[in-house]
Amino acid sequence: MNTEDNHYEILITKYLSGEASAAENETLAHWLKAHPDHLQRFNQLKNLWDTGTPAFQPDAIDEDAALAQVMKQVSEKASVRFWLYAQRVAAILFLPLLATCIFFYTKQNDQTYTTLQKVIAPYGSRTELTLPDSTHVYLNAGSTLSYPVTFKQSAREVTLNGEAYFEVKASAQQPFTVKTKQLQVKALGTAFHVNAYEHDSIMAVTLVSGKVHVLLPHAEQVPLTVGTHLQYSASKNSYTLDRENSYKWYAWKDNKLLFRDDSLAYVFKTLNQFYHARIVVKDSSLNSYRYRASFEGETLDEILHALQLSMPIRYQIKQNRKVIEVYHTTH
Amino acid sequence: MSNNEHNFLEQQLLKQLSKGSHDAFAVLFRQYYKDLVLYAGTIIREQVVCEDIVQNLFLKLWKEREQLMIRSSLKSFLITAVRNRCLDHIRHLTIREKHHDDVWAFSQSNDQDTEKYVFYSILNKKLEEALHQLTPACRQVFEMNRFEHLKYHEIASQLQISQRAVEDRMSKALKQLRVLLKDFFLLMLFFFIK
Repeated sequence: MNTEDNHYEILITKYLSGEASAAENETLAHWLKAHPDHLQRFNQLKNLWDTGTPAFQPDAIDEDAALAQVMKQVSEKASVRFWLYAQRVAAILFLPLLATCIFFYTKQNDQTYTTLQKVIAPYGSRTELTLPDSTHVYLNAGSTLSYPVTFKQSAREVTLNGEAYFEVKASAQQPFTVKTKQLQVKALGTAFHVNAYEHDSIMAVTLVSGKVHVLLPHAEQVPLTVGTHLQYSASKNSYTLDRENSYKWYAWKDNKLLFRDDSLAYVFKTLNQFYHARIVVKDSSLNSYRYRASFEGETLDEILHALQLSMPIRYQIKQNRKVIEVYHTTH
Repeated sequence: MSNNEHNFLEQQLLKQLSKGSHDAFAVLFRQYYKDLVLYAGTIIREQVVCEDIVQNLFLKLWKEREQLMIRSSLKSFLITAVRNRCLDHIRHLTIREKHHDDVWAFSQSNDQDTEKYVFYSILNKKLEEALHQLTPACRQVFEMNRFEHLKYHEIASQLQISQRAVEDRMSKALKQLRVLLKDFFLLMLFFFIK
């Protein structure tokens, strides 16, 4: 071994024992990058060094306690998964298990009582159900749908707070109406999507097939054509129509998340809803960045990781994962 | 145990794991937990964080047991996953860790070396044996630094030698160890690479 090699062996040792100066670090980094063999030599010495000087006492690692803790969560996870499955089955089968409550309300016209069924999809979960007329409904997270146990002869009316996708069973004599706090959607036989959370000032309807009329609060009726997305702003009392990429609005029903040059503000809001997370944007300058991606089956961690790779963000998970803070990397 | 036997056993365990066997999970956990926590310790200094990272990795392994696709060896897969999680953790820290220098960044950026990493439980025994074969002068300096955590200048003043001599003996010690363990490192490669 020549003296030059010797020199670097000393440098590596100094580096590993924390004795190297900034200049020596720089020399070493340069040498490492010069040849793959150098890095391999460094790694072998570091492996030896790390073994000789572990960061903490190996005996202080309590393997049994760790295994017990992990096993506990493994068993819990299995039962949670079963419960989610059970909720889904229950919703489809109509069993009043899914936080269903039944109450009565008075119909003013004919003074008869109608039994209303209420189905809630809690935050972080989605559900599907079939109404008495065989209309199929996908209910997104944090949404509530109320409908009568039997529809009237002349009309089918349901009430929605939140977001849902309807595949309405055709029946010309019995129009289907979705009532929300501000908007109403009238359909015959068709598929459409409604987004109307009471706490949001923006509401939307997307028509997938057939024909619907949207009734705005000031009694204006807007007929929609297939593939059109209507967005209504309560604060401005006006609406816009958009015909691009309409699938992204209701892709959640197929367990997909689609972002098509959407603002990060929208992306994080959607993630919060989809995963029942609390992502807080700390630098508002981020909100206007546009993002484009498709996800299916990814965990929130994986999505955040992907976001971090392509956007100038870094995130920090706080308080046992309850809050995720997002920062602009240049700040 | 030969390389083939080891791989065969691990394949069997992974197969049982995919079917939801708690026993197979526990065996794999015991096999790797301590070594992975100590490996994480080479990147992050807090034991609690390291243990958290490894436990979460095993939980993920369990959650995704049915879709698990391990192209490399399980060992390499686990080391890579632990490293990524550690680096992720460090990235999220507001106060940068001390050893966040160029050498560190470059040596961590290289993916190919996970196969060659030798776990603590295997290497430490060999290392203890090899230490006894060092020349007394080198061994003394090495152990003062290692066990008593003395700085070079402290060792120099205690032994009444120059700091340069301490540097020299430290690096000789490490070099001798590497030569003594050379065959072992080679053997490890044959054992654990598929």
